[in-house]
Amino acid sequence: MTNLTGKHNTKLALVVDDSAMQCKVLSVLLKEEGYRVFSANDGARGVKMYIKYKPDLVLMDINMPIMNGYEAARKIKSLSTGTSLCPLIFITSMDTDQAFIESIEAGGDGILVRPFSPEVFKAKIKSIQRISDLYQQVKTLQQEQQQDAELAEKLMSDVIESRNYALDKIGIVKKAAELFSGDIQLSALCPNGDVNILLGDFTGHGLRSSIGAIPLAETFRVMTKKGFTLLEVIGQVNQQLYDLLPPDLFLGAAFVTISSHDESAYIFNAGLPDVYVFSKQGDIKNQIESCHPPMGVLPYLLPDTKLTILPIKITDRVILISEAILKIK
Amino acid sequence: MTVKKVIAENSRNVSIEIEGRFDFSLHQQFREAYSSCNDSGTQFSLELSKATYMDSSALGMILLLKDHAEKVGGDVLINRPSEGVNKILEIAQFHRLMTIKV
Repeated sequence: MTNLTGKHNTKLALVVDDSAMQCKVLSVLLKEEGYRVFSANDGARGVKMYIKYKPDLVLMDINMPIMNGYEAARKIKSLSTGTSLCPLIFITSMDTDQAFIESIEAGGDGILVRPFSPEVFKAKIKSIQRISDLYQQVKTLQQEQQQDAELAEKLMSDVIESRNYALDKIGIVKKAAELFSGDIQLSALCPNGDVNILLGDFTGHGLRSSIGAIPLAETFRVMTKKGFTLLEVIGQVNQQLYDLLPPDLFLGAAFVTISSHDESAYIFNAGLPDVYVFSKQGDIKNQIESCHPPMGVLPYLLPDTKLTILPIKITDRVILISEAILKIK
Repeated sequence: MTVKKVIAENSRNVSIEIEGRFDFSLHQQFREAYSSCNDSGTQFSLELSKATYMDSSALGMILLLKDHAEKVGGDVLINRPSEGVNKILEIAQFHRLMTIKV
């Protein structure tokens, strides 16, 4: 389990101020808040120490020799584009609008104007640390999500889709907005030489949308191989996904059997955009609309469920389109 | 993008209106709009005339609302979906699952 708050680690603070006295005062207060503290007496040295120690917090004076606070802040902020937000607070006795505006423009996350009481200082540090912790949490979650998406993608390409049949006859165009869009395509050979094809789109994206993919692929392949009719395969897929998935997860899917010996296509569209049959010349011969809620929504197929049966030639093309394509159009 | 909830005085008619994009980002707000409405026989009407977009997560959210309504012995009605949203509802054949008033 990742520690999101990082509370058990001592946090590092960097104090940049040309007055040794001020450094000392701020250091004592920060130590009371549980920080380990480093200090630098000018902006340039502050930037160097930032690079060396990667602190969790920077306190920055504005008027300093060699490099002033604004410039040092800009340098530091340009370096801290990684996973952690390093909050930077300007400490100054310049109580002007201009100082405030310039501080924020230089990348500062806050400004504290002297004189302030130790209590006010500590409160400011706490509030800024809270924001920084939230930022860290978001970053960590984002990374975990990315890993999940990569796992889902790998599962899909290595385990499931690599076992498809007749890959030389099925062209796939895949342009997903995200790493794993929830799309799945399957193909398998029937005992009589027909080919069953499925294009599906699971709700959502990432790992959550891929949990139904393995049982779906198994059912589709095993039943096809054993010679069940397409309608029987569809009925089983629907019932299985209904049993398996939570109510808000489902699969929009188009199923097609291409039968070369009787020159027919059997098509069923449940929740995908229209399926098209094109002639060799590129004319639309047929357009098959969705006629059933997506798989896994209802416990059983609706009683009037039937396949569309079309005569096709070997030169015709059947085009299945998933929702994801419409989303990014 | 907002979720607005209006409960009639008899508390058996709950209207939920979506403005703008209806997608996963509304998940929490949408659920909060109905989860405390447990009076038996509550009629939920989902106003979608101002929804400009809907994705499959939103369809999932509507199915969760339907589950909730059925649990309390009530019903869901989708009211006046905008053209684009209605297209999505048609593709998903949701009129086979609940009443949609165009």
